[in-house]
Amino acid sequence: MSVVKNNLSNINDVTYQQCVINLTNSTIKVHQRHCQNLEEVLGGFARAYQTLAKHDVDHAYSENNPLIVTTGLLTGTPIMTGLRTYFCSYSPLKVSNQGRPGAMWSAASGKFGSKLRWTGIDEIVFEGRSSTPVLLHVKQSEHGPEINLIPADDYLGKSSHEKILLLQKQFADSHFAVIGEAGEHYDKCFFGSVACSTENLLKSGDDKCRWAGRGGMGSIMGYKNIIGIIADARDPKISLTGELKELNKFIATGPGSRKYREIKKGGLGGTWSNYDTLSKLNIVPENNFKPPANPKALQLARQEVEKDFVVKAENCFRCAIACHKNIYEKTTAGKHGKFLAKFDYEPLNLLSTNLGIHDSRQATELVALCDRYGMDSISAGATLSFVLDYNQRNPDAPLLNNARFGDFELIRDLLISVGQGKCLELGQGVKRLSESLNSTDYAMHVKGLELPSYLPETNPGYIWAIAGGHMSMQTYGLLAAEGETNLDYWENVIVNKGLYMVRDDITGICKFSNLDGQRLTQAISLLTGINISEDEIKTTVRHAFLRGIWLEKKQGFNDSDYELPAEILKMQNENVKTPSFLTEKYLKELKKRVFSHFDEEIKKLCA
Amino acid sequence: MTSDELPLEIQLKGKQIYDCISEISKQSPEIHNMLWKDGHVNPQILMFHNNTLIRESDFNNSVRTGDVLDIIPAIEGG
Repeated sequence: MSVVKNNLSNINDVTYQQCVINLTNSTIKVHQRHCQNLEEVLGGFARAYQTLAKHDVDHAYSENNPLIVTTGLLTGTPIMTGLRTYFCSYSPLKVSNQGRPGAMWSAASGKFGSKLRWTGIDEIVFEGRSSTPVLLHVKQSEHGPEINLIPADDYLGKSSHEKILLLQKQFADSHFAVIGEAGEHYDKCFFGSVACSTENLLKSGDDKCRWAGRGGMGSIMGYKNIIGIIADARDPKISLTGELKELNKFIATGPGSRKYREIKKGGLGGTWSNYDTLSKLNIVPENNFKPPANPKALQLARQEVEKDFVVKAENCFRCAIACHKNIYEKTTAGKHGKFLAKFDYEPLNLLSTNLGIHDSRQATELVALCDRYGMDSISAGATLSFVLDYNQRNPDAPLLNNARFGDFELIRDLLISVGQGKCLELGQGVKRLSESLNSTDYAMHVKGLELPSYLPETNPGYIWAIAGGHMSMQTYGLLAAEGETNLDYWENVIVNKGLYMVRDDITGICKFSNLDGQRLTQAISLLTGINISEDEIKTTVRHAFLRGIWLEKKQGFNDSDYELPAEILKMQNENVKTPSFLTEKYLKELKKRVFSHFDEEIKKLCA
Repeated sequence: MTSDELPLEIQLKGKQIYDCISEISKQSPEIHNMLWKDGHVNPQILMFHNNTLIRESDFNNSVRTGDVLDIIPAIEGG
């Protein structure tokens, strides 16, 4: 991205390099685009959604559905956590009740996004579909980026990790975004994810990717026959100014990243610590989001796992937060042995506790398997927990292999089966599966996107999350923290607070930095020369979010889609210690209030 | 607390942590309501004094000029 002037008196002065690849006829064009609005300047999904809006897409797996791989304004800059890549498309999972796909994005860190920008490309738009498996090679050169499609037949049938290690041998100074087997079997698995390589992975040889997991963006890559993307560029030499050093120090040691840092660094030890916090209110999902009277969640709290394994905090490129909590075998000397898996709250919970599994070794195996096949752990886990729940409720006519809560071997078999593209029942996601069984009440999804690890009865904001419940509407922890249940409160937090969570799905920095608005504007000014006010950023983020809601409605999402799983309104779980407040009447009124704000603003924005 | 509000930085005066907490409560009823549940510190909210996690029993600890008190929600996704 380049800036001609250092203020935004003319947004058109800001340009970005967009590469458009027509996979159907193998044409590649690079355009210097002039930004039309601040959403395009900041980038991420805010820019990509404007491109998606121009496409009329009836089915996610169709040639007119583009896949946009884009970056944010700060991706690849020296601000700590400025590493994000965004994969944006109409999703095979997010789908309206009328059957049309919803626009979606999924973000990943690692080093791929930075390398891509260092090639000179800010955004790639894949159109059409290749008839044969291909890799895209984007290479930095003195004459601008060199971009080629190359055959990928030799990479088929390998895990995402194996693909990356193979690519590393051929493209030494590169980073990679690849799919696993699940993405290759896009027609049988709709929640294939995209693996982005990390420095740690390339140095250690361990399976330590960062994932763009949500919404099946890996399955879209698979449909288009894109097996991987190679970003081939030298690392630039960087000297940090005093102000930038201070900003990075603040990110690394300040309150925003505290949750994700190690305890010895003044942190809480990662998102995993939610186990301790949420257990106090018995709201850690267990047995398909229904914690029992005597929960076992704490058996997988970090302090328990550390009795048998070594947990090492590792990091993305130049990030001192070290949020990766990697699990290793513990040697007899108490040192770390073989790498097993990475534990974050969502993958751990949805692939263990919520499946009735409370053994840490079994948990490492399921989390590692999900990564091995390249699947979104949230979608895979929540669809599996539905199957187990269904089998418990229908013992005379069970699904698949009759797995029940806690049946580790049977659950593992199902996970392998869906990863290998042999189990469409699971691979289609919980919305379609539950509809096919006429058992939708306890299918834990909203708009086809499986729920993250926060009980639906604690978060009506899920309805307005445009790209996954805990990444695009920051209301999931509020009931526990604040205990408020009145309509005015929830209307306010959804309309005026929660939606701003998507800011860092635009800017290129990681949500785990939790950088405040004033420092963000300072970083943008220092690193790009663009002076934007905090208010301008807030307005831009709001516009991008509202465009997301507008796109949902354009794709046919209506009142029937904006619902929570019905059972939580019908049957209160008395084991849960947060206030019970959601009823059909309550949600009806809340929807009326929230949409009265959003619809009015959308009318002006998208006229 | 949601992302548009964090981190909010304010200067406080006091001799003990408790004085600072009381001062915050006076300045913001919203924060007060969030911090206290049933007469005790809300377990879903965590406080750090100069990078050390503190509990209610630490509120009598002294503070000095330049000390940092962080109040953060305990729940974060990932």
